[in-house]
Amino acid sequence: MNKKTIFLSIAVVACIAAGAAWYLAQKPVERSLTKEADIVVNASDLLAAFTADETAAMARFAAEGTVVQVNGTVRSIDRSEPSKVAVILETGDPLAGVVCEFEPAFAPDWKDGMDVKVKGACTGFLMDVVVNRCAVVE
Amino acid sequence: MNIRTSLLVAALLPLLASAQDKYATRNGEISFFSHTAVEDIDAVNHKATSVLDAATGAIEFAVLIKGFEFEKALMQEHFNENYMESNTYPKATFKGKVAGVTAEQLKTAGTYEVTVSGELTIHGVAKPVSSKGTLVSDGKGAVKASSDFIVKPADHGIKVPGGVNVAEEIQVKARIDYQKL
Repeated sequence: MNKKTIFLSIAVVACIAAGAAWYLAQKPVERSLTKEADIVVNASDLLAAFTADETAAMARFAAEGTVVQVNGTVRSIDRSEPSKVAVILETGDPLAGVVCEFEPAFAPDWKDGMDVKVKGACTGFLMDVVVNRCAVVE
Repeated sequence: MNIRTSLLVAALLPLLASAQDKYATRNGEISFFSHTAVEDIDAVNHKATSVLDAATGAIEFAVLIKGFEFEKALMQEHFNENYMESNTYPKATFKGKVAGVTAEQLKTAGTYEVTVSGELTIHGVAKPVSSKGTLVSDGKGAVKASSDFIVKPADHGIKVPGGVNVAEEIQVKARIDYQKL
């Protein structure tokens, strides 16, 4: 292999690497997660985990890249915010629920009392457990 | 009155006897913006929780760091893992007082210029802050609050490696729509 070939090969690899780096840097956040769930949990157990040990629950359910599937019953749906639809899942605790945020384009046409499955990225616990970038699990 | 927001206030301000002058939300919007030569950094969080006790002026809010949404996935990842260390410090909180408006004033429609002072805790580090804000009451129980202020990452122990494209000052906007309990 002569010097010219080596140089061209290095140049091609460098271009591919630069292109890959640019692609990764520009890649948008996925607004509704398509990846299969890493963990499946019901809404009451998810809340119980955060109530018992928030640090451990964050490590388990809210680690970067983790997709959580939450199964539960719809307590209520909040469509008052134009940018988000919030489906609140029943946990048995009137003080707290699991709030599943959908982009309007991906929001399901559910009703209170329905048994549902949602997957998303758990972001933590304030008064409720919050799950963002949600998608319906068929 | 929404029972869930009533219970929210009961949990956040347990020592206060009367709910007559309390306002709350679990859908507050907090956004931040930083302009640099290379690219703009901006993110928004739509799930801030906040309570305002107009009788005493006490105000509190909390927001999940992982709930800040960016346009770019890599930027969001760096924000959480490298700068905010959100697995260790999952929330930012503020506890303080609002001065410049009374509970009676908020019961009538009007716009009130206020000063909000208190302690802002980010990345586990608390710092006293004070900023101007505006409360707009519709006289029927809804109060829109807004405030713009500056946060310096260094003040909260957020380390930015040299050469990394993050500004020293971040512009933060709080837009919170309260409902009376």
